[in-house]
Amino acid sequence: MASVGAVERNGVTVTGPADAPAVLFAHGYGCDQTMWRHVTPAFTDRYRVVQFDHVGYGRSDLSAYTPERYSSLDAYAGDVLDIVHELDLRDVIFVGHSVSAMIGVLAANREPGRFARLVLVGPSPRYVDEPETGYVGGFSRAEVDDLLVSLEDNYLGWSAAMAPVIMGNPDRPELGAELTNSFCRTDPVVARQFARVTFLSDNRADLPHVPVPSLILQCSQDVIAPLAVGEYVHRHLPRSELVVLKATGHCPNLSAPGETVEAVTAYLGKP
Amino acid sequence: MTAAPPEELYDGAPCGLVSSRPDGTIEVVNRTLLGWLGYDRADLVGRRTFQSLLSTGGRIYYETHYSPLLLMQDEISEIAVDLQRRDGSRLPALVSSALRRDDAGSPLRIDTTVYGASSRRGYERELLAARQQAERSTSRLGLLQALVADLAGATDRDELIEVVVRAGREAFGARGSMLWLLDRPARELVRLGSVSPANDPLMRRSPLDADLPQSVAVRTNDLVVVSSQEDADARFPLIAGMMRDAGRHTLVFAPLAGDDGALGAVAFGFSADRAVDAADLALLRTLCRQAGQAFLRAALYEENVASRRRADFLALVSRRLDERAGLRDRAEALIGLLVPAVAEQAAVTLVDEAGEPLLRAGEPPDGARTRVTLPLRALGSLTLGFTAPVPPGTLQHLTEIADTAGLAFENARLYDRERDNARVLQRGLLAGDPPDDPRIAVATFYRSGVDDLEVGGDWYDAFAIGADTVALVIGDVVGRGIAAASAMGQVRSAIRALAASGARPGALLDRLDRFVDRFEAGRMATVAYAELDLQSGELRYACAGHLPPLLISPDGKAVLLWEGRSAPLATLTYAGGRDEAVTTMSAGSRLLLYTDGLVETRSGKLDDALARLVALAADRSVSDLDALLTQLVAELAGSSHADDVCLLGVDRLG
Repeated sequence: MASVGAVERNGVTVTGPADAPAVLFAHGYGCDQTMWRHVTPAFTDRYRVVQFDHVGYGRSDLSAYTPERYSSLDAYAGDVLDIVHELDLRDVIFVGHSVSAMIGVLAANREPGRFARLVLVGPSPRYVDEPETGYVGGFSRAEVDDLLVSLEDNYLGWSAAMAPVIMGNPDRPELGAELTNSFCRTDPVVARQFARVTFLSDNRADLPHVPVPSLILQCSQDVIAPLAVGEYVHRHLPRSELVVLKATGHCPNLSAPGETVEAVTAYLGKP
Repeated sequence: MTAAPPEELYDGAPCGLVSSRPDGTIEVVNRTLLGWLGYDRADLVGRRTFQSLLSTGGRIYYETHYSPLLLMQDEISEIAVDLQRRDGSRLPALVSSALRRDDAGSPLRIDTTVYGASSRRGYERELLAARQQAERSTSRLGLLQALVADLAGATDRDELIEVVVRAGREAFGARGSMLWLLDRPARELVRLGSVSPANDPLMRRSPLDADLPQSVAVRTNDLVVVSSQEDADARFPLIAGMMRDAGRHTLVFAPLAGDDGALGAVAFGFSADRAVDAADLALLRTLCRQAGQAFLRAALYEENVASRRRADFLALVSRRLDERAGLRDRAEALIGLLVPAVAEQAAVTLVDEAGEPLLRAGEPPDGARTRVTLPLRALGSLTLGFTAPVPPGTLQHLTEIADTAGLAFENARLYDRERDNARVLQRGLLAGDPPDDPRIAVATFYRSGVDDLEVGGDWYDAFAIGADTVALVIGDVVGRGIAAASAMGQVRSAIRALAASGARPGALLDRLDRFVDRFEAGRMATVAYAELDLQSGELRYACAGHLPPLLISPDGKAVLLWEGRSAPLATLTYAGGRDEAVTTMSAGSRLLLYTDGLVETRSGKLDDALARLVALAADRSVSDLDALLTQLVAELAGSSHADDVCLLGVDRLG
């Protein structure tokens, strides 16, 4: 579809032995592949580690973005499959954070033969409560709308004021080097639509069809993906394992990388 | 001077200060923030996280953006969030945090400052509104571009009307739209497009000077906005009722701007749920300006098409009339072209130079509602009948038709005259008496080409040179018409003069060549020239490019005389010294000279035709000379003769 290859379009980076099993890390909403920087070093000796940015984030090719194409999570799953094909990855271990957990579910359902296992960090198949069925996603529709307003409010601060602050960090040169690539660089237009697509999606029906075993990493006190949601995913996902981390918040890959690595390696070590 | 103690500086600082554990649990909070939020210290410390003080949207934002960035870069500044007060109301704030780490690099504590940002957030919201406005105007710009493209793609007026009327509904969210074009002579606006329930006669044809908003828009060449029902009641009572019935809240009337005032107007009607802002008005104004240009362009295009059609018709008239030979045929052809394509009835009257009627054709349009009589260039007149008034601008075209037809009649008349002249000239030239001598009999035959349009350049001649010699000549000057006929006359006279001066056939043609070269027409010609000695029967002859004479013996043997040949007259290939040949024409022999009209066949095989001529002449050697000539023409040239046929036959009686 896009004229640019997926590797270029999604700013794909590949590290680790070429013949080792592939682990594909997918970042969640709000950031880019640098989110995994404290996690991936633990895998590069034994795995071929593949990371990428969703279109509109990090070093992706923003010109590939059109609101029409990226109007649902299917397009993002398609991008994942493009990467898998272009690098000819097989038996992929897919590690997806937040919304990318569901993107992994969609990709595995579309091409079951390419995936070996899924690791879902803070997954949620639906963020908005559904009172008529008693489903608890954690948010009312009004609250999600409030988020979308928050994004609007930070539009200026985010795109204009934030960048120089992020860049200027003379005290921490090693961070500065990394920052020249810019952290969590987000196109505000993409961010708004991605938020809408993410927080208004409903992928509950996709869970029972997942053809491969999966690990669910659930944080304690995660307002984005509460424990009840993690349990729901575990209940509806065949051959899934639920691990509740001590880590709080929504980003254990950043707040508790050690614990996260431990849980993932323990799972991958199992037969 | 009293410096505040650090504790007081912290607690009473003009901003909110919070220290929390890495998971956000509040450990220290200053008095300022507690005051802003309406909490007691005991409500928060150890019990609540900082992020739990945020509105839900802010909290998601915190988890997805704020916290990840803080963990990655250890600080984050001036993020706009709403804090929720104890009473549920919101405090717009700008929040900055720094992450403190222990010696091992593990997160230890988050220090956060909170600035009230009501005014700044208001300002930012204004900026945001400006951005959204800019985005809307970008989308409007896109809209306008699409419309302009549609307008450019429309070639005729109806398509344009469709585009403009549709644009109002689809692009601007109007509930209804109407379009009028100005009929300048009638001083009224004629409605040509409408998507609206309002069908009042006043809206279908609106007088230009009426108190109607569309009329005002055209008169002033400016937008007229009727912003409410009350506005309509007060300013345009004529449309107030219609507006109420149609349920419109706002009406916008935009002029279709032309180069010289408005060409018409477009109305867009909006219901109450579609607020029309200044940007909408600006865009509508621009659209209608563009549409006005497109209407001008379409009018120009339609005018071009019409004038091309008129030019084509004139060319057709000219061509069709030229194809006909006589005045009557041309008059009939003209009427055939005009009825019914141009008029219901048409009649042509032609007069001669004295003004006397010469010719009448067609049906005089006596009962017609409209009659138009046009001069045919002093040759007569063309009268046309119409059942309806003649559309404006048609008269000019009719005048052009009459002028073109008049020219064709004039040509026909000139042509007829020239043909008559040429024929008279030719007859005069051919009419010379053959030599009257009992030793010979001479017969001639002449027939002009089938279409009878122009006389040709064929001629024959027979005259005496002295007492015992006759000259026999046949020739063909290339070309037709009066010029060829007059050239032929000159050549004929020159031959007679040269023959009288004593030149023998070869030398005569030689000298004739020099004469032809000099004389004005300079036409190529072929000539067969022979001198018959009436005593001895010696026949001395020369052919300049002409067909060979045919000699028929008394015993019925026919021979083509292929000797004494040279190139046609006035050809550049000739280098002087023309051949001549001598043979004997015994008593009872017959000599035949002829032009190519006799032996020109459709198949074009001259040898075959000559062979037939030889056979026929031999076969009918006993025929009477006059009868033979007629028979040969009938057998060889038939009735399908395109060219002139000219024959000269001589019998040597003895």
